[in-house]
Amino acid sequence: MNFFQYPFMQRALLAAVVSGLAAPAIGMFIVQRRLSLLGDGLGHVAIMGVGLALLTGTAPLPVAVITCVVGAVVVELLRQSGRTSGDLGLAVLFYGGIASGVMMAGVAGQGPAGLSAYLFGALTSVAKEDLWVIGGLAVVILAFTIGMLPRLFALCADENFARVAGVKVRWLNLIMVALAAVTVTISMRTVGLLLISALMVIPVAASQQLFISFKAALFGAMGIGLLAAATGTVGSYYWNTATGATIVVTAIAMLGVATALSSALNRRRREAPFVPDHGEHPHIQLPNKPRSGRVTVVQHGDHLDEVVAGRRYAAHGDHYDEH
Amino acid sequence: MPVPNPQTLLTAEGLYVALGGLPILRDVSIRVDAGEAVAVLGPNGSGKSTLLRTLVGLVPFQEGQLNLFGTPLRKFRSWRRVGYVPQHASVSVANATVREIVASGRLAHHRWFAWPRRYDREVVDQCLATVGLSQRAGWSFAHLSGGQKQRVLVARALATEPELLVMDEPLAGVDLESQAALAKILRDQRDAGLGLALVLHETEALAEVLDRTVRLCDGRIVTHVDPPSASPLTADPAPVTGLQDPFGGVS
Repeated sequence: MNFFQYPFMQRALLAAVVSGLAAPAIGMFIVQRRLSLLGDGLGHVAIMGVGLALLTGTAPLPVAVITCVVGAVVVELLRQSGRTSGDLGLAVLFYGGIASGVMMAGVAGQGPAGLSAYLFGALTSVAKEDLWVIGGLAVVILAFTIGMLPRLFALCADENFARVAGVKVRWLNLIMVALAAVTVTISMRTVGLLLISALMVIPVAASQQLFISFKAALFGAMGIGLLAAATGTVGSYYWNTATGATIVVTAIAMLGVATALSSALNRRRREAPFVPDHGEHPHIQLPNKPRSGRVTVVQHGDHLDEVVAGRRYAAHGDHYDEH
Repeated sequence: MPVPNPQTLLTAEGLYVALGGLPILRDVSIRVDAGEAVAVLGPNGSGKSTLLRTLVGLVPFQEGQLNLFGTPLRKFRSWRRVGYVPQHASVSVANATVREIVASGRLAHHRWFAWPRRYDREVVDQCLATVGLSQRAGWSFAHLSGGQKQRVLVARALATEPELLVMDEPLAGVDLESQAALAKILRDQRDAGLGLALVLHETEALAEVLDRTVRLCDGRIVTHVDPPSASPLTADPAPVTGLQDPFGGVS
Protein backbone atom coordinates (compact mmCIF):
# COMPACT_ATOMS: atom_id res chain seq x y z
CA MET A 1 0.00 0.00 0.00
CA ASN A 2 2.58 2.50 -1.03
CA PHE A 3 0.67 4.54 -3.57
CA PHE A 4 0.03 7.23 -0.97
CA GLN A 5 3.74 8.05 -1.08
CA TYR A 6 3.44 9.56 -4.53
CA PRO A 7 2.43 13.21 -4.34
CA PHE A 8 0.58 12.95 -7.67
CA MET A 9 -1.46 10.11 -6.20
CA GLN A 10 -2.30 12.10 -3.08
CA ARG A 11 -3.44 15.01 -5.24
CA ALA A 12 -5.47 12.77 -7.52
CA LEU A 13 -7.16 11.05 -4.61
CA LEU A 14 -7.98 14.36 -2.94
CA ALA A 15 -9.37 15.84 -6.16
CA ALA A 16 -11.40 12.71 -6.89
CA VAL A 17 -12.87 12.62 -3.39
CA VAL A 18 -13.87 16.27 -3.68
CA SER A 19 -15.58 15.55 -7.01
CA GLY A 20 -17.21 12.48 -5.53
CA LEU A 21 -18.83 14.69 -2.88
CA ALA A 22 -19.71 17.70 -5.01
CA ALA A 23 -21.01 16.00 -8.16
CA PRO A 24 -23.83 14.02 -6.50
CA ALA A 25 -24.72 17.02 -4.31
CA ILE A 26 -25.44 19.09 -7.42
CA GLY A 27 -26.68 15.99 -9.23
CA MET A 28 -29.47 15.44 -6.70
CA PHE A 29 -31.13 18.68 -7.80
CA ILE A 30 -30.29 18.22 -11.47
CA VAL A 31 -31.90 14.76 -11.46
CA GLN A 32 -35.00 15.90 -9.58
CA ARG A 33 -35.39 18.77 -12.05
CA ARG A 34 -35.18 16.22 -14.88
CA LEU A 35 -32.03 17.77 -16.32
CA SER A 36 -29.92 14.61 -16.06
CA LEU A 37 -28.12 15.21 -19.33
CA LEU A 38 -27.24 18.82 -18.57
CA GLY A 39 -23.90 17.77 -17.07
CA ASP A 40 -23.02 15.98 -20.26
CA GLY A 41 -23.72 19.04 -22.37
CA LEU A 42 -21.76 21.28 -20.01
CA GLY A 43 -18.83 18.87 -20.32
CA HIS A 44 -18.85 19.55 -24.05
CA VAL A 45 -18.78 23.30 -23.44
CA ALA A 46 -15.86 22.89 -21.03
CA ILE A 47 -13.85 21.25 -23.83
CA MET A 48 -14.05 24.58 -25.63
CA GLY A 49 -12.49 26.17 -22.54
CA VAL A 50 -9.68 23.61 -22.52
CA GLY A 51 -9.02 24.24 -26.23
CA LEU A 52 -9.00 27.99 -25.60
CA ALA A 53 -6.48 27.55 -22.76
CA LEU A 54 -4.21 25.36 -24.90
CA LEU A 55 -4.38 27.89 -27.71
CA THR A 56 -3.54 30.86 -25.50
CA GLY A 57 -1.05 28.94 -23.37
CA THR A 58 -2.86 29.63 -20.08
CA ALA A 59 -3.82 27.28 -17.26
CA PRO A 60 -6.71 25.07 -18.48
CA LEU A 61 -8.72 24.86 -15.26
CA PRO A 62 -9.61 28.55 -14.71
CA VAL A 63 -10.32 29.12 -18.41
CA ALA A 64 -12.51 26.00 -18.54
CA VAL A 65 -14.40 27.07 -15.40
CA ILE A 66 -15.18 30.49 -16.84
CA THR A 67 -16.13 29.19 -20.30
CA CYS A 68 -18.36 26.50 -18.86
CA VAL A 69 -20.13 28.83 -16.41
CA VAL A 70 -20.80 31.34 -19.20
CA GLY A 71 -22.12 28.49 -21.38
CA ALA A 72 -24.33 27.23 -18.55
CA VAL A 73 -25.80 30.66 -17.87
CA VAL A 74 -26.56 31.11 -21.59
CA VAL A 75 -28.27 27.71 -21.69
CA GLU A 76 -30.38 28.47 -18.61
CA LEU A 77 -31.37 31.94 -19.85
CA LEU A 78 -32.40 30.40 -23.16
CA ARG A 79 -34.41 27.76 -21.33
CA GLN A 80 -36.10 30.33 -19.08
CA SER A 81 -37.06 32.48 -22.03
CA GLY A 82 -38.63 29.39 -23.61
CA ARG A 83 -36.76 29.88 -26.86
CA THR A 84 -35.00 26.53 -27.02
CA SER A 85 -37.79 24.70 -28.76
CA GLY A 86 -36.73 21.23 -29.84
CA ASP A 87 -33.47 21.50 -27.90
CA LEU A 88 -31.87 22.77 -31.09
CA GLY A 89 -30.20 25.69 -29.36
CA LEU A 90 -28.69 23.38 -26.77
CA ALA A 91 -27.42 20.97 -29.40
CA VAL A 92 -25.71 23.76 -31.33
CA LEU A 93 -24.09 25.11 -28.18
CA PHE A 94 -22.92 21.71 -26.95
CA TYR A 95 -21.58 20.36 -30.23
CA GLY A 96 -20.19 23.75 -31.15
CA GLY A 97 -18.35 23.58 -27.83
CA ILE A 98 -16.71 20.22 -28.40
CA ALA A 99 -15.94 20.90 -32.08
CA SER A 100 -14.34 24.29 -31.47
CA GLY A 101 -12.44 22.88 -28.47
CA VAL A 102 -10.91 20.06 -30.49
CA MET A 103 -10.11 22.49 -33.32
CA MET A 104 -8.38 24.98 -31.05
CA ALA A 105 -6.40 22.18 -29.40
CA GLY A 106 -5.33 21.08 -32.90
CA VAL A 107 -4.22 24.58 -33.84
CA ALA A 108 -2.24 24.69 -30.60
CA GLY A 109 -0.41 21.57 -31.74
CA GLN A 110 -2.26 19.09 -29.50
CA GLY A 111 -4.28 16.45 -31.28
CA PRO A 112 -7.28 14.67 -29.82
CA ALA A 113 -4.79 12.52 -27.87
CA GLY A 114 -3.72 15.58 -25.90
CA LEU A 115 -7.34 16.13 -24.92
CA SER A 116 -8.01 12.58 -23.80
CA ALA A 117 -6.68 13.21 -20.28
CA TYR A 118 -9.40 15.86 -19.92
CA LEU A 119 -12.09 13.66 -21.42
CA PHE A 120 -11.61 10.54 -19.31
CA GLY A 121 -9.45 11.68 -16.40
CA ALA A 122 -5.80 10.90 -15.68
CA LEU A 123 -4.10 10.35 -12.35
CA THR A 124 -0.97 12.29 -13.13
CA SER A 125 -2.65 15.41 -14.38
CA VAL A 126 -3.75 17.08 -11.13
CA ALA A 127 -1.34 19.97 -10.54
CA LYS A 128 -0.73 21.47 -7.12
CA GLU A 129 -2.21 24.85 -8.03
CA ASP A 130 -5.29 23.07 -9.45
CA LEU A 131 -5.92 21.50 -6.07
CA TRP A 132 -6.50 24.89 -4.43
CA VAL A 133 -8.96 25.94 -7.12
CA ILE A 134 -10.75 22.59 -6.96
CA GLY A 135 -10.93 22.65 -3.16
CA GLY A 136 -12.14 26.24 -3.00
CA LEU A 137 -14.86 25.77 -5.60
CA ALA A 138 -15.99 22.50 -4.02
CA VAL A 139 -16.48 24.29 -0.70
CA VAL A 140 -18.69 26.84 -2.47
CA ILE A 141 -20.73 24.06 -4.12
CA LEU A 142 -21.24 22.11 -0.90
CA ALA A 143 -22.00 25.21 1.18
CA PHE A 144 -24.67 26.24 -1.31
CA THR A 145 -26.32 22.86 -1.81
CA ILE A 146 -26.43 21.98 1.87
CA GLY A 147 -27.10 25.49 3.18
CA MET A 148 -29.92 26.10 0.73
CA LEU A 149 -31.35 22.61 1.10
CA PRO A 150 -34.83 23.68 2.31
CA ARG A 151 -35.26 26.09 -0.59
CA LEU A 152 -33.78 23.78 -3.19
CA PHE A 153 -36.00 20.96 -1.96
CA ALA A 154 -39.11 23.11 -2.27
CA LEU A 155 -38.07 24.08 -5.78
CA CYS A 156 -37.52 20.44 -6.77
CA ALA A 157 -40.73 19.21 -5.17
CA ASP A 158 -43.15 21.84 -6.42
CA GLU A 159 -41.95 24.85 -8.38
CA ASN A 160 -45.31 26.66 -8.31
CA PHE A 161 -45.57 26.39 -4.57
CA ALA A 162 -41.99 27.60 -4.22
CA ARG A 163 -42.84 30.68 -6.31
CA VAL A 164 -45.85 31.51 -4.15
CA ALA A 165 -43.69 31.04 -1.05
CA GLY A 166 -41.55 33.86 -2.40
CA VAL A 167 -38.60 31.73 -3.57
CA LYS A 168 -36.61 33.46 -6.30
CA VAL A 169 -36.96 30.52 -8.65
CA ARG A 170 -35.14 32.05 -11.62
CA TRP A 171 -32.13 33.03 -9.54
CA LEU A 172 -31.93 29.65 -7.86
CA ASN A 173 -32.11 27.83 -11.19
CA LEU A 174 -29.40 30.05 -12.60
CA ILE A 175 -27.10 29.49 -9.63
CA MET A 176 -27.71 25.73 -9.70
CA VAL A 177 -26.80 25.48 -13.37
CA ALA A 178 -23.71 27.66 -12.90
CA LEU A 179 -22.61 25.46 -9.99
CA ALA A 180 -23.21 22.38 -12.14
CA ALA A 181 -20.82 23.92 -14.66
CA VAL A 182 -18.23 24.48 -11.93
CA THR A 183 -18.63 20.87 -10.77
CA VAL A 184 -18.08 19.61 -14.30
CA THR A 185 -14.88 21.58 -14.75
CA ILE A 186 -13.28 20.88 -11.39
CA SER A 187 -13.81 17.18 -12.07
CA MET A 188 -12.20 17.19 -15.52
CA ARG A 189 -8.77 16.10 -14.28
CA THR A 190 -10.04 13.12 -12.34
CA VAL A 191 -13.39 11.96 -13.75
CA GLY A 192 -13.09 13.62 -17.13
CA LEU A 193 -15.45 15.86 -19.07
CA LEU A 194 -17.21 13.06 -20.94
CA LEU A 195 -17.90 11.02 -17.82
CA ILE A 196 -18.54 13.58 -15.08
CA SER A 197 -22.26 13.59 -15.83
CA ALA A 198 -22.31 9.94 -14.74
CA LEU A 199 -20.90 10.85 -11.33
CA MET A 200 -23.66 13.48 -10.98
CA VAL A 201 -26.43 11.05 -11.83
CA ILE A 202 -25.51 7.47 -10.88
CA PRO A 203 -24.85 7.91 -7.13
CA VAL A 204 -28.15 9.82 -6.95
CA ALA A 205 -29.98 6.99 -8.71
CA ALA A 206 -28.44 4.50 -6.28
CA SER A 207 -29.26 6.60 -3.22
CA GLN A 208 -32.85 7.22 -4.35
CA GLN A 209 -33.45 3.49 -4.17
CA LEU A 210 -32.24 3.24 -0.60
CA PHE A 211 -33.71 6.29 1.13
CA ILE A 212 -37.20 7.71 1.46
CA SER A 213 -36.47 11.28 2.49
CA PHE A 214 -34.85 13.89 0.28
CA LYS A 215 -32.27 14.85 2.86
CA ALA A 216 -31.19 11.24 3.43
CA ALA A 217 -31.05 10.64 -0.32
CA LEU A 218 -28.84 13.73 -0.78
CA PHE A 219 -26.33 12.73 1.87
CA GLY A 220 -26.52 9.09 0.78
CA ALA A 221 -25.68 10.10 -2.78
CA MET A 222 -22.71 12.11 -1.53
CA GLY A 223 -21.51 9.08 0.45
CA ILE A 224 -21.87 6.76 -2.53
CA GLY A 225 -20.11 9.30 -4.78
CA LEU A 226 -17.25 9.62 -2.30
CA LEU A 227 -16.85 5.86 -2.06
CA ALA A 228 -16.99 5.37 -5.83
CA ALA A 229 -14.45 8.17 -6.43
CA ALA A 230 -11.98 6.87 -3.85
CA THR A 231 -12.30 3.23 -4.93
CA GLY A 232 -12.11 4.13 -8.61
CA THR A 233 -9.00 6.29 -8.16
CA VAL A 234 -7.12 3.61 -6.25
CA GLY A 235 -8.33 0.99 -8.75
CA SER A 236 -7.08 3.01 -11.68
CA TYR A 237 -3.63 3.08 -10.08
CA TYR A 238 -3.48 -0.72 -9.84
CA TRP A 239 -5.11 -1.53 -13.17
CA ASN A 240 -3.45 1.35 -15.01
CA THR A 241 -6.81 2.49 -16.39
CA ALA A 242 -8.34 5.92 -17.00
CA THR A 243 -9.41 7.29 -13.61
CA GLY A 244 -12.81 8.59 -14.70
CA ALA A 245 -13.77 5.37 -16.42
CA THR A 246 -12.84 3.34 -13.34
CA ILE A 247 -14.78 5.67 -11.03
CA VAL A 248 -17.89 5.47 -13.19
CA VAL A 249 -17.76 1.68 -13.54
CA THR A 250 -17.43 1.46 -9.73
CA ALA A 251 -20.44 3.76 -9.32
CA ILE A 252 -22.51 1.62 -11.69
CA ALA A 253 -21.58 -1.48 -9.69
CA MET A 254 -22.79 0.33 -6.55
CA LEU A 255 -26.04 1.19 -8.31
CA GLY A 256 -26.51 -2.52 -8.98
CA VAL A 257 -25.95 -3.34 -5.31
CA ALA A 258 -28.32 -0.55 -4.22
CA THR A 259 -31.05 -1.81 -6.56
CA ALA A 260 -30.74 -5.34 -5.20
CA LEU A 261 -30.75 -4.02 -1.62
CA SER A 262 -33.75 -1.77 -2.14
CA SER A 263 -35.99 -4.50 -3.49
CA ALA A 264 -35.21 -6.53 -0.38
CA LEU A 265 -35.77 -3.47 1.84
CA ASN A 266 -39.03 -2.45 0.19
CA ARG A 267 -40.54 -5.86 0.51
CA ARG A 268 -40.17 -5.53 4.26
CA ARG A 269 -40.92 -1.82 4.47
CA ARG A 270 -44.04 -1.39 2.41
CA GLU A 271 -46.42 -4.12 3.41
CA ALA A 272 -48.24 -3.36 6.66
CA PRO A 273 -50.77 -6.11 7.49
CA PHE A 274 -54.33 -4.85 7.14
CA VAL A 275 -56.92 -5.32 9.90
CA PRO A 276 -60.47 -4.17 9.11
CA ASP A 277 -61.94 -1.58 11.44
CA HIS A 278 -64.21 -3.21 14.01
CA GLY A 279 -66.06 -0.19 15.31
CA GLU A 280 -65.86 1.01 18.91
CA HIS A 281 -62.54 0.77 20.67
CA PRO A 282 -61.97 0.59 24.37
CA HIS A 283 -60.91 4.05 25.40
CA ILE A 284 -58.10 3.19 27.74
CA GLN A 285 -56.14 6.35 28.18
CA LEU A 286 -52.48 5.61 28.39
CA PRO A 287 -50.13 8.55 28.66
CA ASN A 288 -47.71 6.62 26.47
CA LYS A 289 -47.77 3.36 24.67
CA PRO A 290 -45.83 0.67 26.53
CA ARG A 291 -42.22 0.93 25.51
CA SER A 292 -41.15 -2.65 26.06
CA GLY A 293 -41.02 -5.14 23.23
CA ARG A 294 -40.68 -4.91 19.51
CA VAL A 295 -42.99 -2.43 17.81
CA THR A 296 -44.58 -3.35 14.51
CA VAL A 297 -47.18 -1.42 12.56
CA VAL A 298 -50.45 -2.69 11.11
CA GLN A 299 -52.96 -0.87 8.96
CA HIS A 300 -56.19 -0.80 10.99
CA GLY A 301 -59.10 0.57 9.01
CA ASP A 302 -58.13 4.11 8.13
CA HIS A 303 -55.24 4.47 10.55
CA LEU A 304 -52.12 2.75 11.78
CA ASP A 305 -51.89 0.72 14.97
CA GLU A 306 -48.65 0.01 16.70
CA VAL A 307 -48.38 -3.54 17.95
CA VAL A 308 -46.45 -3.96 21.19
CA ALA A 309 -46.33 -7.32 22.92
CA GLY A 310 -49.42 -8.63 21.14
CA ARG A 311 -51.61 -5.58 21.91
CA ARG A 312 -52.53 -2.87 19.41
CA TYR A 313 -52.33 0.80 20.28
CA ALA A 314 -53.27 3.84 18.26
CA ALA A 315 -52.42 7.48 18.93
CA HIS A 316 -55.52 9.49 19.81
CA GLY A 317 -54.83 13.16 20.48
CA ASP A 318 -52.60 13.35 23.53
CA HIS A 319 -52.95 9.70 24.56
CA TYR A 320 -53.06 6.16 23.17
CA ASP A 321 -56.13 3.96 22.77
CA GLU A 322 -55.96 0.21 22.95
CA HIS A 323 -57.50 -1.24 19.80
CA MET B 1 -62.29 51.63 -6.41
CA PRO B 2 -63.90 51.12 -3.01
CA VAL B 3 -61.93 51.96 0.09
CA PRO B 4 -60.24 48.75 1.18
CA ASN B 5 -61.74 47.31 4.26
CA PRO B 6 -59.03 46.39 6.80
CA GLN B 7 -60.39 42.87 6.75
CA THR B 8 -60.16 42.58 3.00
CA LEU B 9 -57.38 40.15 2.11
CA LEU B 10 -57.63 40.10 -1.62
CA THR B 11 -59.24 42.31 -4.23
CA ALA B 12 -59.13 41.90 -7.97
CA GLU B 13 -60.77 44.45 -10.26
CA GLY B 14 -61.36 43.96 -13.95
CA LEU B 15 -58.67 41.33 -14.51
CA TYR B 16 -57.87 40.56 -18.11
CA VAL B 17 -55.59 37.60 -18.74
CA ALA B 18 -54.48 36.30 -22.10
CA LEU B 19 -52.21 33.32 -22.58
CA GLY B 20 -50.46 33.05 -25.92
CA GLY B 21 -52.69 35.81 -27.29
CA LEU B 22 -55.84 33.93 -26.34
CA PRO B 23 -58.04 35.72 -23.81
CA ILE B 24 -58.71 33.44 -20.85
CA LEU B 25 -60.20 35.88 -18.33
CA ARG B 26 -62.17 39.04 -19.15
CA ASP B 27 -63.14 41.72 -16.68
CA VAL B 28 -63.06 39.43 -13.65
CA SER B 29 -63.44 40.98 -10.20
CA ILE B 30 -63.32 39.11 -6.95
CA ARG B 31 -62.89 39.97 -3.28
CA VAL B 32 -62.00 37.77 -0.32
CA ASP B 33 -62.38 38.99 3.25
CA ALA B 34 -60.97 37.54 6.43
CA GLY B 35 -63.11 34.74 7.83
CA GLU B 36 -65.00 33.98 4.64
CA ALA B 37 -64.76 31.24 2.06
CA VAL B 38 -65.25 32.22 -1.57
CA ALA B 39 -65.54 29.50 -4.20
CA VAL B 40 -64.94 29.96 -7.91
CA LEU B 41 -67.05 27.53 -9.89
CA GLY B 42 -67.35 26.83 -13.54
CA PRO B 43 -67.07 24.19 -16.23
CA ASN B 44 -63.77 22.89 -17.54
CA GLY B 45 -62.00 25.53 -19.58
CA SER B 46 -63.92 28.39 -17.97
CA GLY B 47 -60.69 29.90 -16.69
CA LYS B 48 -61.19 29.21 -13.00
CA SER B 49 -57.79 27.63 -12.43
CA THR B 50 -56.14 30.43 -14.40
CA LEU B 51 -57.93 32.94 -12.18
CA LEU B 52 -56.59 31.23 -9.08
CA ARG B 53 -53.07 31.11 -10.46
CA THR B 54 -53.34 34.77 -11.40
CA LEU B 55 -54.37 35.66 -7.86
CA VAL B 56 -51.14 34.20 -6.43
CA GLY B 57 -48.95 35.72 -9.13
CA LEU B 58 -48.20 32.58 -11.13
CA VAL B 59 -49.92 33.90 -14.25
CA PRO B 60 -49.38 37.52 -15.32
CA PHE B 61 -52.42 39.68 -16.02
CA GLN B 62 -52.53 42.32 -18.73
CA GLU B 63 -55.26 44.61 -17.42
CA GLY B 64 -56.93 45.30 -14.13
CA GLN B 65 -55.82 45.62 -10.55
CA LEU B 66 -54.89 42.96 -8.07
CA ASN B 67 -54.21 43.75 -4.42
CA LEU B 68 -53.10 41.33 -1.74
CA PHE B 69 -53.52 42.71 1.77
CA GLY B 70 -53.93 46.15 0.27
CA THR B 71 -50.64 45.99 -1.64
CA PRO B 72 -50.53 45.77 -5.44
CA LEU B 73 -49.28 42.33 -6.48
CA ARG B 74 -46.24 43.90 -8.15
CA LYS B 75 -45.00 45.19 -4.82
CA PHE B 76 -46.32 42.39 -2.63
CA ARG B 77 -43.55 40.59 -0.75
CA SER B 78 -45.07 39.15 2.42
CA TRP B 79 -45.90 35.78 0.93
CA ARG B 80 -45.92 34.28 4.40
CA ARG B 81 -49.48 35.61 4.67
CA VAL B 82 -50.63 33.48 1.74
CA GLY B 83 -51.02 29.70 1.78
CA TYR B 84 -51.26 28.08 -1.62
CA VAL B 85 -52.65 24.60 -2.21
CA PRO B 86 -52.10 23.50 -5.80
CA GLN B 87 -53.53 20.29 -7.22
CA HIS B 88 -51.61 17.42 -5.69
CA ALA B 89 -50.27 16.32 -9.07
CA SER B 90 -48.07 19.42 -9.01
CA VAL B 91 -45.75 17.76 -6.52
CA SER B 92 -43.26 15.71 -8.46
CA VAL B 93 -40.33 14.52 -6.46
CA ALA B 94 -39.06 10.97 -6.17
CA ASN B 95 -37.70 11.26 -2.65
CA ALA B 96 -39.74 13.16 -0.10
CA THR B 97 -41.33 12.28 3.20
CA VAL B 98 -44.69 13.72 4.20
CA ARG B 99 -42.90 15.75 6.85
CA GLU B 100 -40.45 17.22 4.36
CA ILE B 101 -43.28 18.37 2.10
CA VAL B 102 -45.15 19.99 5.00
CA ALA B 103 -41.94 21.57 6.31
CA SER B 104 -41.42 23.36 3.00
CA GLY B 105 -44.48 25.41 3.95
CA ARG B 106 -42.25 27.24 6.45
CA LEU B 107 -40.01 28.60 3.69
CA ALA B 108 -41.71 31.94 3.38
CA HIS B 109 -40.59 32.68 6.95
CA HIS B 110 -36.93 32.07 6.24
CA ARG B 111 -34.10 33.84 4.54
CA TRP B 112 -31.52 32.19 2.30
CA PHE B 113 -29.29 29.64 4.01
CA ALA B 114 -31.68 29.23 6.93
CA TRP B 115 -32.50 25.78 8.23
CA PRO B 116 -35.68 24.98 10.19
CA ARG B 117 -35.69 25.74 13.92
CA ARG B 118 -37.57 24.21 16.78
CA TYR B 119 -40.60 26.45 16.35
CA ASP B 120 -40.80 25.42 12.68
CA ARG B 121 -40.81 21.75 13.67
CA GLU B 122 -43.56 22.37 16.22
CA VAL B 123 -45.72 24.11 13.63
CA VAL B 124 -45.15 21.22 11.21
CA ASP B 125 -46.18 18.73 13.92
CA GLN B 126 -49.32 20.75 14.61
CA CYS B 127 -50.26 20.92 10.95
CA LEU B 128 -49.72 17.20 10.46
CA ALA B 129 -52.00 16.58 13.45
CA THR B 130 -54.60 19.00 12.06
CA VAL B 131 -54.93 16.97 8.87
CA GLY B 132 -54.71 13.68 10.76
CA LEU B 133 -51.47 12.47 9.24
CA SER B 134 -49.14 12.56 12.24
CA GLN B 135 -48.58 8.85 11.91
CA ARG B 136 -47.56 9.15 8.28
CA ALA B 137 -44.93 11.83 8.83
CA GLY B 138 -42.08 9.53 7.83
CA TRP B 139 -43.87 7.99 4.86
CA SER B 140 -42.96 8.58 1.28
CA PHE B 141 -45.29 11.20 -0.22
CA ALA B 142 -45.42 9.22 -3.46
CA HIS B 143 -46.99 6.23 -1.67
CA LEU B 144 -50.00 8.10 -0.30
CA SER B 145 -53.51 8.00 -1.72
CA GLY B 146 -54.90 11.02 -3.58
CA GLY B 147 -56.90 12.12 -0.56
CA GLN B 148 -53.93 11.85 1.75
CA LYS B 149 -51.72 13.78 -0.66
CA GLN B 150 -54.30 16.55 -0.75
CA ARG B 151 -54.32 16.68 3.04
CA VAL B 152 -50.52 16.89 3.04
CA LEU B 153 -50.67 19.90 0.71
CA VAL B 154 -53.27 21.54 2.95
CA ALA B 155 -50.94 20.92 5.90
CA ARG B 156 -48.07 22.48 3.94
CA ALA B 157 -50.12 25.59 3.24
CA LEU B 158 -51.23 25.79 6.90
CA ALA B 159 -47.58 25.48 7.98
CA THR B 160 -47.06 28.88 6.38
CA GLU B 161 -49.44 30.19 9.08
CA PRO B 162 -51.30 32.13 6.41
CA GLU B 163 -54.13 34.60 6.63
CA LEU B 164 -55.37 33.75 3.16
CA LEU B 165 -55.65 30.22 1.84
CA VAL B 166 -55.83 29.80 -1.93
CA MET B 167 -56.78 26.32 -3.12
CA ASP B 168 -56.99 24.79 -6.56
CA GLU B 169 -59.64 22.03 -6.72
CA PRO B 170 -58.92 20.65 -3.27
CA LEU B 171 -61.47 17.88 -3.76
CA ALA B 172 -60.26 16.57 -7.12
CA GLY B 173 -59.48 12.87 -6.87
CA VAL B 174 -60.25 12.79 -3.15
CA ASP B 175 -62.29 9.96 -1.65
CA LEU B 176 -65.49 10.76 0.26
CA GLU B 177 -63.98 10.20 3.67
CA SER B 178 -61.11 12.59 3.00
CA GLN B 179 -63.59 15.10 1.53
CA ALA B 180 -65.43 15.17 4.84
CA ALA B 181 -62.13 15.52 6.70
CA LEU B 182 -61.05 18.37 4.44
CA ALA B 183 -64.39 20.13 4.84
CA LYS B 184 -63.98 20.06 8.61
CA ILE B 185 -60.39 21.34 8.42
CA LEU B 186 -61.41 24.19 6.12
CA ARG B 187 -64.38 25.13 8.27
CA ASP B 188 -62.18 25.26 11.35
CA GLN B 189 -59.63 27.41 9.56
CA ARG B 190 -62.28 29.77 8.25
CA ASP B 191 -63.84 30.06 11.67
CA ALA B 192 -60.37 30.87 13.03
CA GLY B 193 -60.38 33.90 10.74
CA LEU B 194 -58.64 32.74 7.59
CA GLY B 195 -59.89 33.90 4.23
CA LEU B 196 -60.38 31.06 1.76
CA ALA B 197 -60.40 31.31 -2.02
CA LEU B 198 -61.13 27.98 -3.68
CA VAL B 199 -61.61 26.72 -7.16
CA LEU B 200 -64.18 23.92 -7.14
CA HIS B 201 -65.83 21.63 -9.60
CA GLU B 202 -68.79 20.90 -7.38
CA THR B 203 -69.78 22.49 -4.10
CA GLU B 204 -71.59 19.61 -2.47
CA ALA B 205 -68.94 18.41 -0.03
CA LEU B 206 -68.03 21.95 1.00
CA ALA B 207 -71.51 23.47 0.87
CA GLU B 208 -71.58 24.37 4.55
CA VAL B 209 -68.13 25.94 4.44
CA LEU B 210 -68.74 28.34 1.56
CA ASP B 211 -69.92 31.88 2.16
CA ARG B 212 -70.02 33.05 -1.43
CA THR B 213 -69.65 31.49 -4.83
CA VAL B 214 -68.56 33.10 -8.06
CA ARG B 215 -69.45 31.31 -11.28
CA LEU B 216 -67.15 31.69 -14.26
CA CYS B 217 -68.14 30.86 -17.78
CA ASP B 218 -65.91 31.44 -20.77
CA GLY B 219 -63.63 33.70 -18.75
CA ARG B 220 -66.35 35.98 -17.41
CA ILE B 221 -68.22 36.06 -14.16
CA VAL B 222 -71.79 35.02 -14.84
CA THR B 223 -73.29 34.90 -11.36
CA HIS B 224 -72.31 36.07 -7.96
CA VAL B 225 -74.18 34.21 -5.28
CA ASP B 226 -74.24 35.53 -1.76
CA PRO B 227 -74.88 33.02 0.96
CA PRO B 228 -78.19 32.42 2.59
CA SER B 229 -77.83 34.75 5.55
CA ALA B 230 -79.55 32.21 7.78
CA SER B 231 -76.46 30.02 7.73
CA PRO B 232 -75.40 29.63 11.36
CA LEU B 233 -71.79 29.44 10.28
CA THR B 234 -71.72 32.89 8.79
CA ALA B 235 -73.82 34.59 11.44
CA ASP B 236 -70.90 35.09 13.76
CA PRO B 237 -67.80 36.04 11.84
CA ALA B 238 -64.54 35.31 13.57
CA PRO B 239 -62.74 38.29 15.09
CA VAL B 240 -59.79 39.63 13.15
CA THR B 241 -57.45 39.37 16.10
CA GLY B 242 -55.67 36.06 16.35
CA LEU B 243 -55.24 35.83 12.59
CA GLN B 244 -51.51 35.61 12.93
CA ASP B 245 -51.60 32.40 14.87
CA PRO B 246 -54.18 29.87 13.76
CA PHE B 247 -52.69 27.34 16.14
CA GLY B 248 -52.95 29.58 19.18
CA GLY B 249 -50.66 28.36 21.92
CA VAL B 250 -47.95 26.93 19.70
CA SER B 251 -45.77 29.93 20.23
